[in-house]
Amino acid sequence: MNMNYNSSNQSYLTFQLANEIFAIHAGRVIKILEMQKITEVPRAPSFMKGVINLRGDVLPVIDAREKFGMMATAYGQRTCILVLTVTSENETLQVGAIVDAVLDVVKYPDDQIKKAPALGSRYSSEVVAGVMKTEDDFIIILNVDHVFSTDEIISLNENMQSQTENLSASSQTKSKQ
Amino acid sequence: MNQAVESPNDQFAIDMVMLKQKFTEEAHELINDLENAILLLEKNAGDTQQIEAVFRAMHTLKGSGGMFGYHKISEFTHDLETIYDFVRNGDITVTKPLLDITLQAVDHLKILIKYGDDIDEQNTKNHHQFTESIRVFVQKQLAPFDSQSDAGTDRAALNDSNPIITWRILFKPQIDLFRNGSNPLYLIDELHTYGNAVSIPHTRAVPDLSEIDTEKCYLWWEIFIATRQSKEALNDVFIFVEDDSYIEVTKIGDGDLFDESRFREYLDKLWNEQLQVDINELEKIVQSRNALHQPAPAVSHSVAEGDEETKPSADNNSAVTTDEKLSSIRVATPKIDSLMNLVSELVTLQARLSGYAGQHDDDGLTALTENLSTLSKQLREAAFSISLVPFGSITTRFQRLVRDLSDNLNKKTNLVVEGQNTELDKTIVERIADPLMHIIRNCIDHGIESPEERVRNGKSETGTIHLRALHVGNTIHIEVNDDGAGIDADALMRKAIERKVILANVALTHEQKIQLIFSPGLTTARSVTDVSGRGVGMDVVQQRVAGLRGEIRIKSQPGAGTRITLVVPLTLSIIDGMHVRIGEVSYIIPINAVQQIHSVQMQNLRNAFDNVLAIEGEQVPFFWLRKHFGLDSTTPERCEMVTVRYGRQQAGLVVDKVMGEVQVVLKPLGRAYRQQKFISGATVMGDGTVALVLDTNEIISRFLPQKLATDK
Repeated sequence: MNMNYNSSNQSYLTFQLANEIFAIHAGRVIKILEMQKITEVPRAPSFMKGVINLRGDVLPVIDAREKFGMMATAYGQRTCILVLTVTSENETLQVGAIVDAVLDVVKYPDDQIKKAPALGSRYSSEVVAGVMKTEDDFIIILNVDHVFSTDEIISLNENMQSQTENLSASSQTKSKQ
Repeated sequence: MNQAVESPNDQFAIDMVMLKQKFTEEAHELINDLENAILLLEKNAGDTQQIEAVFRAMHTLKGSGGMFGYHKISEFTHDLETIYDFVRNGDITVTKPLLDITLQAVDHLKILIKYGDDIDEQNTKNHHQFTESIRVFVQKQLAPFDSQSDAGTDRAALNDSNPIITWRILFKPQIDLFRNGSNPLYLIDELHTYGNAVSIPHTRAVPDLSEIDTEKCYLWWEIFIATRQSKEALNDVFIFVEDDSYIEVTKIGDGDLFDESRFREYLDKLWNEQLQVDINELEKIVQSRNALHQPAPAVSHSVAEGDEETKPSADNNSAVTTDEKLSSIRVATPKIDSLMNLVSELVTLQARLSGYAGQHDDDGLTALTENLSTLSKQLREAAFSISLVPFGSITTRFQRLVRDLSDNLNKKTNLVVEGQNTELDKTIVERIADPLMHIIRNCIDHGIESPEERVRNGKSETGTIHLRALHVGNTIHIEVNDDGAGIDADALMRKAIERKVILANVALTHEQKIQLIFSPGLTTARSVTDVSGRGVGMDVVQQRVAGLRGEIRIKSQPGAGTRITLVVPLTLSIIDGMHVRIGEVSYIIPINAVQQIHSVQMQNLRNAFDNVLAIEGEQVPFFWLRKHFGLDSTTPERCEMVTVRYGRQQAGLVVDKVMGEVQVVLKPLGRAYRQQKFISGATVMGDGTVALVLDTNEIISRFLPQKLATDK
């Protein structure tokens, strides 16, 4: 699906949400901003935090924790906004995603990325672009196009269980289903 | 593996889509030029420049249509081109039937451009009929003229009567000719089909092998040709490359010089020694030949042009003169958008700098900041002017409308357009076109009288509609002025009463009666004609104009005519607004909606029954923006209420504080917030924060029903 990004470059940016680590293809990340004042747009879902000024343009910002149905927390020193390109309905747009902390940029070969198993609810294959294995962990590579273009809150909990058995069991995500 | 194979194809498909889009854009422009030229031709049938323009537009359409797979277009325009080739040669004269059929053809071309080769059944049928009728038309036109030319498309047959002339063609392509995909050899091949020809390639400019850039064209050619074709026909061979090449067609002498052994020997010499032609030498050959064949009128054309021999060699390097063509360039809209973004970012940053300089007592800093401020303001204006287009870019369709509609209704109408060069925002130009069409349609249908009636009333037989665009301050006025019968105010009034728009017993002034034209569901046409009876009334026109933050004014005098003026802002991207605050958040209310600002005590608002306040004797419903926006801060005791227009009423919006008037650049909020219709966009304020721009109509219509519900 994201051929343009995946076929040539295998760098991934990893970030943290609560106790979980996720990865996004580095080609999708335009820049990383410090947390800043966000102008709230009235009557929008609570995970849609509002808009910020991105070099003169107006950028919608989404709280990734709330988007995944996790508990919202106060923003801290390491909180930042990832500016991502997202393709939705043939339109390319930019969104900001608030994450707890940016961890690393890792290289990972394409052919070792596991496909998301088709078990569990039908969410899994849409949300998860693949799974990569590090020394002692599995990290979910998010399908950015899907995650940040839907208006609904996404529940990750059960899918993660089925895909990453080795993942440290105490997932903090709350299931909304 | 599979991916690797697929992606180039995908890339190719994307490229092709983009190319096709480019072609469509260009084609529309060509069609516009074409229509324009035809309409001008109608006024002055002998205007060779316009004939040339028509021919050229068709020729280009034919070529690029074929290139992008629009075969129907290229085959269709080929037939049209044939007609205009005859016109150009004076074999067919410009007549009304000819222009009629051409205009119909232009309409058909529009369909072909829109749908490409996959037109539906009906259109395919039309296509064939049309192609046929054009063939028939050409034959009929040519019949009295040339009885044996039955196909009518064979150029050579027609040119049989022309004498053979020997020409010298200098063809110096620009070095990057290949980039357009042109192959000069094809052109030369085409020339060779016209008669005896020798082409001498000049290779002196070719660099050493190590330095050759294979994508560059280092060669130029001299072509000697003896043909019956006209000079224009020879020039036409180069029509696609003429912008990128230096082309010179010179007559050397009458007759076929290739018969002359001295001429052939001379050419051989040129070829072998890579010399440029020596005109004197050529002249000698021509003259000796003339002495032999036809003694008397021997001064050939080339003598007069003898001084040209020095020119080509002088500007060998810069063979191409494109000065005239550089007056405008085509730029993709995203590029302009991104320029505008950068500029508005700069302006924002500049405002912050000014703020910073104001807080620090530093003369040097202040001076620099002021200079920067002036400069960035100029830059903003310059960048802004790039995004404007002339009003003239949409007027052709009005000319066409007036022509067709007048014919239809047996009226005579002349459209005079002024202010073609008045520039306005592209979006506005596009969105104003439809309302204008409708207004002009109304003018002809209802305003302009029949020729007989006009004569009876002592007017000239032909009615005139003046369409004028002009700058007035920060707005553009577009006036449509007709000298027709004017609006029958009393008829409007009767209709309004009949349709229960107003009560029968109200007394209205003439002005007020005319304003009734904007009420929904009114049309004064006695019979619903094909033309205005489309269910679109002036009310819709008014809505459209209001959507552009504009207004519409109307003035009419019975017997003398009607003037309708559309007042629209210069641009949609920059708006004048009232900067207000609720808590820490800034909002912008468009200034054209704002009526008044009232300082009010929270206490009074709280006590107001049903959220309605009496202001200057008027009952004004008001809205707690804080509550409706779901903000958790509390309203201060002393707050302000901005009253805004809502239809014919007023409504109040309660805010904490009015900060002042600002001019802001409107940015879309994007898809993410498409549900928030009451926010028309956002803007970046001087301090770098984002303020939301409110759509007051949406706010009121969205929150009013809730209020009504609580009423019960």
